[in-house]
Amino acid sequence: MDGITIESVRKTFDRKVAVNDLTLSVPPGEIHGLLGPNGSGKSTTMKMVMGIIKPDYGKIDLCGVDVLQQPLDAKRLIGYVPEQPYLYEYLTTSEYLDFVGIAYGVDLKSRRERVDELLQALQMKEYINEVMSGFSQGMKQKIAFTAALLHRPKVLILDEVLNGLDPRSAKIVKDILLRLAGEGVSILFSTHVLEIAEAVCSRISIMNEGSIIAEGTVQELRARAGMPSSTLEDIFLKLTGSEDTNKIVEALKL
Amino acid sequence: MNGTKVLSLASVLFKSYFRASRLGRRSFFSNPRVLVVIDLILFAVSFGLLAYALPLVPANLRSTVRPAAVQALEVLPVLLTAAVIVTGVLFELGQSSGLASSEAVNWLPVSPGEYVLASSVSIMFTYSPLLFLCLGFTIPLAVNFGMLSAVPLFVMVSFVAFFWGGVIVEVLRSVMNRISSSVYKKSGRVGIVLRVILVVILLVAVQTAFNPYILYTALSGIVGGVSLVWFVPVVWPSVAVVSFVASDVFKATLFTLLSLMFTLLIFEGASKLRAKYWSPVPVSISVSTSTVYVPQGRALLWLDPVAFAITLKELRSLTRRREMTRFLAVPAVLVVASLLPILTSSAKARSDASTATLYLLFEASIILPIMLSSISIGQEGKSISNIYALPISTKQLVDGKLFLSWVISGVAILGIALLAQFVAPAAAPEFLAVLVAGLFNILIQGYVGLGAGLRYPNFTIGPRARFITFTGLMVAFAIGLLTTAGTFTPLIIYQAGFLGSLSLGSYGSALLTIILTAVIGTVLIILARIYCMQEATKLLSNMEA
Repeated sequence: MDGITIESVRKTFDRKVAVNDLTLSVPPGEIHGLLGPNGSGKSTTMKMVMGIIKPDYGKIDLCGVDVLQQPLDAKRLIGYVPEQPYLYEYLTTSEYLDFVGIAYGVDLKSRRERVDELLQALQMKEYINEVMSGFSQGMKQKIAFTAALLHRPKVLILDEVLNGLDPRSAKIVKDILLRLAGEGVSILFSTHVLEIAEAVCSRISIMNEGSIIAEGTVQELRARAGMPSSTLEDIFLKLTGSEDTNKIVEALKL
Repeated sequence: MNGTKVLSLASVLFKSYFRASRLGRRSFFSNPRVLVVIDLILFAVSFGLLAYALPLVPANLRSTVRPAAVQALEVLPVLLTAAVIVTGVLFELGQSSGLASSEAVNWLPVSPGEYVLASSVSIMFTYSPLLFLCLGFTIPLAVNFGMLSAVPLFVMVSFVAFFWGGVIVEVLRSVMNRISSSVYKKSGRVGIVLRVILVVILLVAVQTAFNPYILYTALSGIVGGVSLVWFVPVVWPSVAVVSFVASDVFKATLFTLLSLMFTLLIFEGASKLRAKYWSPVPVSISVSTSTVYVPQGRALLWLDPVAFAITLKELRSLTRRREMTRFLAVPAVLVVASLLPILTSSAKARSDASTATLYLLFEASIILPIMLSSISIGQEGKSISNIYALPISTKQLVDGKLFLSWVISGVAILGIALLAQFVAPAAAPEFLAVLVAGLFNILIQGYVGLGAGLRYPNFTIGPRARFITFTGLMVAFAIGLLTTAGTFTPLIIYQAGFLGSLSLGSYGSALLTIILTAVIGTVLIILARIYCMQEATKLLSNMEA
């Protein structure tokens, strides 16, 4: 089966349930938004899809490859941008991209073309021979995004990929994602910025306390919440039980 | 200047130093009150010991001991300043520049003067056991030899000298940040190489200076020479004490005042430098002016392109990260520290070359590969997520991580062997047998160290980061010693002359030793590799949350 298939996956840390019997599928060409409050299990889910955290039980399949049984084959299919891009900051951009490209088995010619076009698009070409320790958060995010796309992945796992990006770069990244989805790439996309999720994602799952509490298109979520003309933010707050934020702010002695 | 703020900041700096570095977060010793108790115990014990022992010195020896007591009073202030500077600079070298620039103090309302004072106080407090131990030994000497009146002055100038050490470290820190940033920005790759060389030279010089033999020679030179170099501020506290003991009150007062004025001067200088170079801003360093991307990627020997890319990454980590460069100096330090005793020993001792070479290679072939390979996982820090996320196999990870530690250790072992052979030549067959055992041991210990590094990594990146837990280091050295004993067994049998009964001649005996070493070494390599691969598989299969 193509795309991402997660079946009844559970993960606990000590006795805390981080992800509870989660089932989800992201077919090719879909950008699936994963929303939820802090600590709801989004990042853990993504890391399990990556094969870097082992679930207690359940099955994760990427384009027909079992992540638990064939983790290396699965990783070759994935491009991943973590929430915090921990790059090797003592390397230059080119050295880091070489390292990633070699690990993915991208040949020299394809790497040159791919790096050139991606860095050009993200306005990072002039930094190719600079050591990354002096880069801003946004610049590091662009390098992480470039690295994730180097090998033309079939699956993209993006954890807060637009963090720290300037509006122009954010727009370019969003456009790239839409184009990749059009080419059949399955994208699992987590964000706290609900406007972005609404604009980019074809389907959305809202997670709370390790479980998916709602799933569908924005219209379907509106219907389910009984809020046909509301924003995604209102739906999110209602479904996660945190809609009464006004009282919290009023209680503050600012 | 706000005293409460200074003391509070000093306490924070002291705790962060201890908790982030050598003794762990829940360290008993990171409590300032505990350190005060330790200081007092050290003082009481050393004072008590000497106060008890000195009256037992026979009367005919007292005239010989008295000059030593005066020399102790004379040398101690200079030594205290030097000790604090050396340890402070080493601490600074072990600190990540990224961390230094993100210190909370950079954006808190703390003036440069307050910071310098707090930092100096925290450094003084950190090394205070040294001060109290020295005072505990020196004060009874002064009292016992009729210099009681000099004690208050001596204690005061010792504290002043100790404080100087802390302030001078602050000056050096600012200057190092400034030079580091400028050199990096302007010279790129050349700057990186220059810094590596400078750090290695500095560490070798420091270690050499603290070699017992050199230290003894240097101290002998200082004693008696203090008065001759009265114009050097570092010796002013010593000159003040010496003058007081010699009943020259005017000179004692003058140099005490000069010492206090110098304290104010360097404190002001350190504050100004801190204000100017408040925080080391991470600079963008270009290793090439070109903006053209030229992709790289090749295999080397048995390393496939992925493993070789990991090796290159390791090399860049060692040469470009301030907290890693110190590990590059270890082979050089080991060579110098090992060869100095031979160079300074008698001709008879030198002639016992085979024992010396065996000892040096035995030591180096355990320490170097274990140290370099055991830190290679923990030094990844949070960037280890790259290794988890990329399709890197356990074999590629192990091969890529080990290659550099093998090469560096191998070069160092060859260097030690050749230098030892030059200083104290051994017979060729014996030399070869020792060398083969050393090289086999490097391969084994590389696996042992990496295995422990994979099992007990410490991903905390901070001042004096160790990159492997204490337990991991102990496990690595325990396995290392056992396996080294195995590898060197044929050599020990050979050196003990037990092969003589076989009548093989010197070359025959050496050849048999080499063959036996190779057989045992190969078996141990296979076992160590299995251990290492198992640990790598375990680590890569599940990332800690």
